[in-house]
Amino acid sequence: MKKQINSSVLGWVVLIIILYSIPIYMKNLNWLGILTFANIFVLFAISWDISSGHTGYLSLGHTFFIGLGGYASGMLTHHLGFSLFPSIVISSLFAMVLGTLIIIPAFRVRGPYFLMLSFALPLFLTGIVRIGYFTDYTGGHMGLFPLPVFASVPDRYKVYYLTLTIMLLIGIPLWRLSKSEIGHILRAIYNDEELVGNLGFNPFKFKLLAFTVSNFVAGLGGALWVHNMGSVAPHSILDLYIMVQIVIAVMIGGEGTIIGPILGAYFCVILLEALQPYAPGPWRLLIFTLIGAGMIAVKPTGIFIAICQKLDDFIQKKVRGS
Amino acid sequence: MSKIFEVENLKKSFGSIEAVRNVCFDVKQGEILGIIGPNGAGKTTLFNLIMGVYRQDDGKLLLRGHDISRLKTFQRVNKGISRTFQFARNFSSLTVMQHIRMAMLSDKLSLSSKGEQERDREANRIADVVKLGGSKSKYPGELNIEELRKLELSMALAVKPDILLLDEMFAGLTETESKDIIDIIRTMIKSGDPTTAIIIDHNLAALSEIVHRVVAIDLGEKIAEGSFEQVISDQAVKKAYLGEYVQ
Repeated sequence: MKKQINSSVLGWVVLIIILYSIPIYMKNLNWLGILTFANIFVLFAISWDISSGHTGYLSLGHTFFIGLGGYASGMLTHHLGFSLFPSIVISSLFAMVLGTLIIIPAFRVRGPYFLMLSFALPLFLTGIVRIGYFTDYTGGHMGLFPLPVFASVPDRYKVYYLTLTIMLLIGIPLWRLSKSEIGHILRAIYNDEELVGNLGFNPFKFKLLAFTVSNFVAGLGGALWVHNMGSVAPHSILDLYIMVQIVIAVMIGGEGTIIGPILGAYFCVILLEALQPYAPGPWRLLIFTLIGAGMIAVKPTGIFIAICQKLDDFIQKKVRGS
Repeated sequence: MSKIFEVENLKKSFGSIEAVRNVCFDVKQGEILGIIGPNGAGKTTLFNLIMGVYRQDDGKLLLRGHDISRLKTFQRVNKGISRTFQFARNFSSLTVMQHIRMAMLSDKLSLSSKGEQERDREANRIADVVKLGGSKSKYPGELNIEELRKLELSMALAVKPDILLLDEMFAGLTETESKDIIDIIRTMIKSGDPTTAIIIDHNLAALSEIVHRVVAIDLGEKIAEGSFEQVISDQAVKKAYLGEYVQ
């Protein structure tokens, strides 16, 4: 029998070692803060990947689910005095339940129709947030602040480790789900939903599963995001640009793979920050978008997942050679 | 032989076009039934109605005496009907083996690796039955048209159906390739894997080798039923295929 090494597990071990050891050699608190945001942004990317990236029900309304979690936690802590962690859990569940109930009717359509329906969702939430009647609760255009934060600035190490651990606790099971037969079926729905039904599977059940999990993770990410920033406002959580970043992160990573979007999300956040000194203001977003679009054009199935596959081939060859 | 499947007065219209008109027939356990008719006769619509892709306007579909006409496609599959398509369909991101393994799962989903060996053994057996043993790790993009047909057949088999619906299985195949598929179908039916099949095809030579009985339809209506020889010598069938030139 040929010798084979489980390079996926090896890859995870290397990634975990690198991510956990960053604070040991990185003394720049600003960059540590950026990487903390990256840990949370990974949750946005993988939550979009497990639903849209796997099933092909491409959504441009993912910030709606992120916003549900963010606003719910913001209001629970700001108005009702909830402490941080119960509020985050309740808000994630709220985003999961309400988000799923809202998205279910949209399963009747797919392709551009689903895309347009999903696109309306964050606009709808932005409208609700800004309506005069609700502004006492939502903070309106300015948002809600100050919100409780995880820790003060000198303790950014703790926040980094907390968000990293949560990201891994979500990311690894999602990756496992993606690799399982359920993951195969979700990707099969992307390919040919009617054929999936012809194999005896109820496609609705699988779409429901994917979007329920996705909405929970998006809501969790949204809640973590607002308590990392200390505020929640439409422009900081419901903006179309956040959606564009999520899609770019998933596409350059490799949709339908989970690990690709994780790497893609870190790359996007780091790239955006690295561009800051050289491309101020709108130039930064413009250059970032061009780089992202270029990377997608070069390798539509994902640059990072392609690199992972090349590494895997290399490792397997070496192992067999030895 | 007892009836396993019955189609009773099935009707379907698309706007003003009556695609299927009062079609009735039955299939007996262990039988291979052929359905023939010219292009646009309503053959594939009939399969789509049987599978629940379309909901009939009227009529009934009885599987072992139970009405399945209100069930969704996946429920009909789980009751024991599976199909192949006129144009071979597959999942581009899965290998042959992954296709078969997935089709075998049905509702027995699991994240654990329990029963993996047994499933592998059965998937290997199915791949061998359809003569795809040498292409198990290939993706659909690496297969030729005959292998793509076999891949569809393997998926349809893997759901363990009682009745298999084959839609133009021989389309685009050479005579040798058709013979290969005929052999596979014969072997399957003989081993009870599944026991019964309904085949739509224009390749009458290939059909004549395997069907026990034929139903001919034209313009959505049944125009003849009987043995292969009886049906192809029927005046109405000749007229449907050749038009007014038939004397």
